Amino acid sequence: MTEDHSELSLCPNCGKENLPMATRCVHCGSAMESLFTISGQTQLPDEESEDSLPDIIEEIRNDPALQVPTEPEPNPEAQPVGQGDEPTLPEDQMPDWLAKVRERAQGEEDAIGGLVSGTIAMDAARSEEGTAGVEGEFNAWINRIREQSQQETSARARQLPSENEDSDQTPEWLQRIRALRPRPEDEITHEIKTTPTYLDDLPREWTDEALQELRRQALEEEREQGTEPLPDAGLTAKNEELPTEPGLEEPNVAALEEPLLGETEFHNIPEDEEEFLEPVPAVDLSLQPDVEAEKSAEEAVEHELVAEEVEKPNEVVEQEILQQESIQANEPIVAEPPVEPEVTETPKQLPLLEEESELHPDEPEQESEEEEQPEDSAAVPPDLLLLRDQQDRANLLASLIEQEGRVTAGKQVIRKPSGRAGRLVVALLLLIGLIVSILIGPAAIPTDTPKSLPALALSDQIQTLVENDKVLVVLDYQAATSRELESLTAPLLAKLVTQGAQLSFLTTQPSGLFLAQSLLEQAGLPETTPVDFLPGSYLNLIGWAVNPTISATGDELVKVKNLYPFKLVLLVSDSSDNIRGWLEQIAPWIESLRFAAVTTQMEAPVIAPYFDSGQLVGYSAGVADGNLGAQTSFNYRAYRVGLLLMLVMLLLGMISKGEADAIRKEEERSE
Amino acid sequence: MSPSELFTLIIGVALTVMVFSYILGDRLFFGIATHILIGVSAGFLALVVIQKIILPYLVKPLANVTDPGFLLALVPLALSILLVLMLFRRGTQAGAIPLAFLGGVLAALAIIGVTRGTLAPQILSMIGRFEPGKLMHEAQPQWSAIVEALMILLGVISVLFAFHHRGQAKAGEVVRPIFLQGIGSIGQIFIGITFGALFVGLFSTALIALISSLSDIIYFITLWF
Repeated sequence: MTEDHSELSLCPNCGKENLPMATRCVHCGSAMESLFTISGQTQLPDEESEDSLPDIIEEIRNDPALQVPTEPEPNPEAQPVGQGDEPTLPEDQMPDWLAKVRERAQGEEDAIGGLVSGTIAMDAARSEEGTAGVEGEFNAWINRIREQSQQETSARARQLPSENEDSDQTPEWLQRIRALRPRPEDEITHEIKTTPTYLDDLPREWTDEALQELRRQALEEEREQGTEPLPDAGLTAKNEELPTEPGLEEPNVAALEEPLLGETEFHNIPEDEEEFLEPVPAVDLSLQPDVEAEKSAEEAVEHELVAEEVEKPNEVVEQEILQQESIQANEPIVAEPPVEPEVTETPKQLPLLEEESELHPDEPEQESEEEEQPEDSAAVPPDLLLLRDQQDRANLLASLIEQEGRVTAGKQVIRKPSGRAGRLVVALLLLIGLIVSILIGPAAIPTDTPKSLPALALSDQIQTLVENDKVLVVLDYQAATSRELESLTAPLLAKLVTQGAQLSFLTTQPSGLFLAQSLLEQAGLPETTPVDFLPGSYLNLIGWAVNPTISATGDELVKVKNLYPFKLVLLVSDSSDNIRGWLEQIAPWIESLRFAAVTTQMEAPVIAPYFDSGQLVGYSAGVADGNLGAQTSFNYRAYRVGLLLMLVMLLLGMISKGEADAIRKEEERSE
Repeated sequence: MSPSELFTLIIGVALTVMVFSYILGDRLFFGIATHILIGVSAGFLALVVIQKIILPYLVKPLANVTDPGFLLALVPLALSILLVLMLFRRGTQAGAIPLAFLGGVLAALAIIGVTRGTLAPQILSMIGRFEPGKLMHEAQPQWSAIVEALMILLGVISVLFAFHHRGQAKAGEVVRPIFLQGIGSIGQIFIGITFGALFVGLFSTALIALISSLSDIIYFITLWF
């Protein structure tokens, strides 16, 4: 990603590019010769270097500045041992500090022997064949793992077109990314294989902590038996400075810190960086940091071992575990190069290292300081170095690939409340209130309740009628409003009958034929009172109104043949349109005819202008204008309770609507 | 209470409860009650129309050729036949003839009726409110009458302008003059007050009907206890 291709090294076999620290070519597998080239220094050809080396030496020898001043050959007896290279001065000209140094050097074994003894011991330890063999084996093992991972990824990338022949629409870059990333199924299988299976509370997969726990148990058992405790491998490794390559130092330090961290549960990692400690499931091993790469490599080896062990019967596994315990108890320092490269010390190295630590007591502090220092990128092989932003991008890419193909949750459809529950609550509340009000007892409307001005005008018009004045009563309402209209009309009809008026009944609705019976009963009129059906309503009477002389000669079916003899037309209707139709179609033709109306309270505002204009001499509407409150079947208390409940509902509805509008406007502003 | 009254009362209560079940989200019983209502109403209407319209106005005149209304009855007969032809595809245009005749007559009646029965009387009434005799009483101004007359005039004019949507087209939008917008807004206030009054009336009417039905049901229940 951010690799500098200028630092890449070319394979001498295939000529392809490889990472500068690659030991083998990832393409052909041949060994890379330029493994330990020093960056920034031009490497000369071997022949040139060989040719130039004597010249440099010759120049150094011939340099007069570097020439040793020619002096007479000193007396070997007078010259102290080890000072043969130093220029000799007379004792009188010699400074005091130099004299003290020489005296001390003579008294001690070697002035610099203490300093270099540890180094010499380390060199001796490095020169041990066993250590060298372990290191070489470990390096070869790491290289094999790298090569294997590279070959697997490249082979998977080659096999991709054949495997995904049906996914022709997938871009090539995405297929390669998929190939470079282990499939989720493989991970699942991988996890199943690596899932620790326990047998008698002993894990099959022995981790570092488990091994150390076993060692502690073995030490405790041996202490109980009175034997000398064996040195702990972990502690030994902690005090040792491994002579491995720089890239292997950090994992060792980290591995040495693990027990301490586990004991004290302390770490210096910030909390917000814990996410970086999470495993990266879909990143190539070559892109992982050194520690993670080695951990994954260890896990790979352990998985292989576990896979082999899983197939073994439990008894065999148990025996092997016991054998491992016995071996670890007898061999305190276990060389586990593939799994624990830090435990590569041999017993021969331990005395040397202990001596070194004694000679250099300040070195552990230096080591601890080095451990506290951040990870040096130079200590990690460049092919395994991964920057933080690269890791973030890798994590992001891995998450995107994981989410690809999944059914993503679309935009959540915000379900608007249907309001069904709200309506139910309102209806039930209203019903309960009305029922309770009715059950409390009858409540009549007060007799002194004032009537409306149109109702008073209507009463006055009725008062002006005298005996034998003809009044036409038009019934034009439905059964739903019959209770209200009948309560308003019945008192008026009773009053008209009392005054001796002649009443004629017409109905424009078929249902008026049987609804009129109830009205006549309430008004105290006989049930035999004729009620004629007037088809077409007022349109049927236009001819009579326009030219009553012509109409009077024809139809004999309708008893009401002429409108002119009538003094008053009382329109009992629940529709303002019908009342307006009478006023528009009939009233203009007969100026002497007065019209009055009885209607519902719902239609009252519509016909009010006709009362103001004088087209209606009066009208009656609402509960207070009739005798509805005086009827036992009507509960005035329930009526008031219903109005109060509806008023509360209206206020709540207005508040909620205003709030909803405000929220909506705020959302629109924010958008 | 007679058995017939008790039977009708039971039927009425049952149908009322079935209609009320719609509150609880029930559709079955509400549908049954609705279908019963529509069926009974349609049957009753058909019976009334046959008995009160078709037989006396069409069949009876046509049955007697010597009847003076015979020729006159042929006109509604021909129009009725043309209406029946609308049931067939080829007779659609023929069926439009009686509909056009009916629509034309009703439109003419409506225009004449609205002009003579509503517009002219209402305008005259509004103007009549400004008569000096109504605004002054014994040389003293009747402020209530004056305010009422002004409010009525303002209401009429503002409501008329509320439905006036003409204006200059600028950038794809019709821009009305500012004073028209202001008057229209006042008209909307009057319209809102009117709709509020209508809603109150509607609720009052419905509440009266509901209380009456509940009273009947409670009365029916108290009969058995």
